[in-house]
Amino acid sequence: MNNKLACGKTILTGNKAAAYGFALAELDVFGGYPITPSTEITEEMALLASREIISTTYRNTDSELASMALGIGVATAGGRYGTATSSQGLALMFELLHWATTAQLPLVIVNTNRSLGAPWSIHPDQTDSLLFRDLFMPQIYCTSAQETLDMVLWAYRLSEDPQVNLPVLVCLDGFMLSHTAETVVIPAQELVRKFLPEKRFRKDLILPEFGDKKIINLQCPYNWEEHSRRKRALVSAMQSAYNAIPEIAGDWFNIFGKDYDNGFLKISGDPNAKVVVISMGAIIGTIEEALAEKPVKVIGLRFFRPFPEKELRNAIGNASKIIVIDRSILPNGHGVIADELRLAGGACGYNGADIHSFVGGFGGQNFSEENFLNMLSAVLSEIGPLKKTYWMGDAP
Amino acid sequence: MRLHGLGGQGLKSMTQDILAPLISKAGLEVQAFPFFGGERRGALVSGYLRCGEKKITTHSFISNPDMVVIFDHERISITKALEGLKPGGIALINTVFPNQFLGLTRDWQIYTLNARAISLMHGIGNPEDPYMVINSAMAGAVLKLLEPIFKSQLSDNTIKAVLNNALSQKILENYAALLEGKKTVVKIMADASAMWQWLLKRRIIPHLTQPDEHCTKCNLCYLFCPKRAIETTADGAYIIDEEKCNYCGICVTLCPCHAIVMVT
Amino acid sequence: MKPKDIAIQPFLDSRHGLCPGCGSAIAMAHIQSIVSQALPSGKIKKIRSMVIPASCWSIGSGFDGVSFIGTNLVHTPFIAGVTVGEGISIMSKRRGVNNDEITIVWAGDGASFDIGLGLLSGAAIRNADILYVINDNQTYGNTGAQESGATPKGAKTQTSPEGKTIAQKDILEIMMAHKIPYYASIALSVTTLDDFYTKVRYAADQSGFRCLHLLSVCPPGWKCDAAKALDLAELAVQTRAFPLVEVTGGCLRLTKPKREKPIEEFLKHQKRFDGIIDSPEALLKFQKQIDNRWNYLLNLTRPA
Repeated sequence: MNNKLACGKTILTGNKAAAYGFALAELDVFGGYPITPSTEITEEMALLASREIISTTYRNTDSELASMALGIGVATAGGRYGTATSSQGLALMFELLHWATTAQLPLVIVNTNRSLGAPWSIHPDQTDSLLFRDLFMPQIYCTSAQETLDMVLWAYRLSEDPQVNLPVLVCLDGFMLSHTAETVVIPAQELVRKFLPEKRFRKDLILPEFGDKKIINLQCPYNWEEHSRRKRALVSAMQSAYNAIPEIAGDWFNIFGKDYDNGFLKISGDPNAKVVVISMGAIIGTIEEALAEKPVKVIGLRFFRPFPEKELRNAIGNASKIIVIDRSILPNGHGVIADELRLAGGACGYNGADIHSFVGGFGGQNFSEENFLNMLSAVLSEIGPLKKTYWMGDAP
Repeated sequence: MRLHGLGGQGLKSMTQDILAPLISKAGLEVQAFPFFGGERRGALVSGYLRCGEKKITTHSFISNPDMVVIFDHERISITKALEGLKPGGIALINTVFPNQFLGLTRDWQIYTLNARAISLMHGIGNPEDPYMVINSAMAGAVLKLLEPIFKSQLSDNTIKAVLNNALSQKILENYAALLEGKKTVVKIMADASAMWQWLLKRRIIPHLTQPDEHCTKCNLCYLFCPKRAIETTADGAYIIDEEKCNYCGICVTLCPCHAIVMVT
Repeated sequence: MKPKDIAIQPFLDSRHGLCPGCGSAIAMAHIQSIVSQALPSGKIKKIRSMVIPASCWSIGSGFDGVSFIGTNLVHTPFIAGVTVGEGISIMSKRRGVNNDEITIVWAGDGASFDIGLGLLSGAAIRNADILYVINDNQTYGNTGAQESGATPKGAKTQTSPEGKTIAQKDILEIMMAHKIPYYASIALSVTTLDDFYTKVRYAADQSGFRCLHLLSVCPPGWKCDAAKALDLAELAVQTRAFPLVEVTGGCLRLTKPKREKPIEEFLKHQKRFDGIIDSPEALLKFQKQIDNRWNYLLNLTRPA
């Protein structure tokens, strides 16, 4: 494939960075449908394809359902597929996305996080992608435009890993990242080709090669034994994804020189701190800047699925206070990350540490540095275990 | 109770819409559900029914039934249908020739009735239909066998009312068939003096009469068989594969020379 | 063409689980055979895959990984069949083999007229390179014959026990509105064999979005005799309950039945229409609707 993509240092919004990620991944097909705040990704792909800067077949679909159905078709025929959407569109895809995960079809969806209605909002929170946390689908949360570009490429590498074969969701907060122009270095296509090998789809999951005499019946009714076997295979695939991530991070470092550590977490601040703050997405940067001078370690979850229990245990260490900031809420009144941490419990090794759960940022509520400083002092002045979930919408 | 039949014979509606309500009215707790792979005529259908004094909360298949009901013993494997039936348990079989099941009386109590004949006699069902409905006669037989455990007896009106809800037509005819099923269901006695009579295979299949006589080899039957059950031999004769045929009768209607007839 | 000369390629085998007398099963065998043999242009295409959204064929075409229809099968959720097919065909194009292989979407009327109508519209207007077969048994057959957009008004179904009160959707008009390269309604019976073969061969030979609207007699759903399934297909055409139409490049051609019969001849064999048959007034109205539609189609016809 002859790509004429520009490379090198430039200014890109998060959306454009995602598009360049897709472009560098040399997709067979991209199916696009507009929805705020992801629309720009689709438009950029349409532009690159129509000017033949990339040789991806671009299609305007008639709905997000069609975007996902097209993806299932392309992947079933051994093609590399990508699409971008947000909230309502992502939710609309649920049935088909579930189908793609349990059919173990590799593909990548970029989701610009946006509050899922009712009522309407175009502004960010993480209620949309976290709705999908029960799917066998790795989920990545980006903290910058550069990371977005990089993670789209990671996503294809992970998705098509011979032990994995699952759709992967790459998230970036709407407006906060999607529409924010930042410095991005676009890597050279030749380097990307070293990182992202030729497609190697698993033969038993897709249509046979042209000319192959074998006949396959994909996703027909199966007996319960096969269903059971497939569920176990999915658990195993997620475990393989977990194993692959540090490898991918290592490869990325060797090829591009950028250190993502083991890939799972973004850690900064005071390494010996007794107070850790855990969150994910664009606010990680805000928290880092706000608490830079404080005795606090900031842990950003890059991978929400598979949930990195062991890495969190290491990062939390012997902290005495854990602050979790969630932009999501569950029927039990907890934020999603806080809930996952509680479920992981002993595995994250914080028996004895208090968890302080903060939820907020719904419908695009802005968080300033001041919010986090107030939050920190509130926590430090408290003694004893968690009493309740703190609603940042209420707090000053 | 576990029931085995084929789609079209009325097993599902009998289990859920006739038996379950009547058992409930007889003072027992009841649970009933079907299982089928494809929802179509001729496909295997199973029914599961639990009844008794205690409330039933389990939701699982029945591997050791007290009673097995078999709607069609020619196209359903008897061995499979009786699997797990408790020793001394009851098997109710729809059949024309009861004595072929004498051997089974060693392990179980065998009851039979000719549900097909009873249904036809009361104007229910179509004799040409290989998956003819026989459920009201069968229901009568099942109710008779359950009488010993009922807490209260079912009145005529109760039964008619349930049939009225369950069926869209021929309520009175079905009621009559139900009563007849109740009356005629009979237990096979191992020590009966009747001799063994072997069953003539009473299947309905299309049969090509002497090719020289009628068939002009127009090829139409081959072209239009939905089951691809008709082939030609090397010397151009047409043969119908009985194993592949599902007795739809299209070839019989289609043949311009009337060379194909349904035989029993 | 002489029936004697037709040999059906061995794709569909007897293990399929469709009901006795299923019109769709008969058509499936013929269509697979036709598209795999030499087409009018001389091309020979291989069936890349049948794509089957939720329908009778989801259950009947095979299970536990085995295909009973002799081709690759891709099963899809109800709504998604057409666009999954489109995705597969795009990959054929990218691999440079789109003239050598054909992707066939075999969807029911429920998938096409109702739940999948939006996606059908999208794929059609994008001129997706697939052969789209609407397997129309005028009901949701797989779930026991409930009312669909394709059910004729007045017909009884499980969810319209007194007869459907809503009009039947006109899929011809819907497809014409999308300006697709080829649309044809087909029915398989002895007297329509030629028409059927010609249309299927032509459709398979083209590229872009070709739609075949197949009338499939459904004995359990229509409450008719299985043995009459073929006769009913023929009667549907003769009574003009199912007009045989062909639309190429926006021009509509209507096939006039050799023997015309009053609509009663079609309705009387199907218990689903006993509400119409029993009422002279309703029957008259029904005949009028058939006549009106036929005249409307006559007015639409124009030379190619």
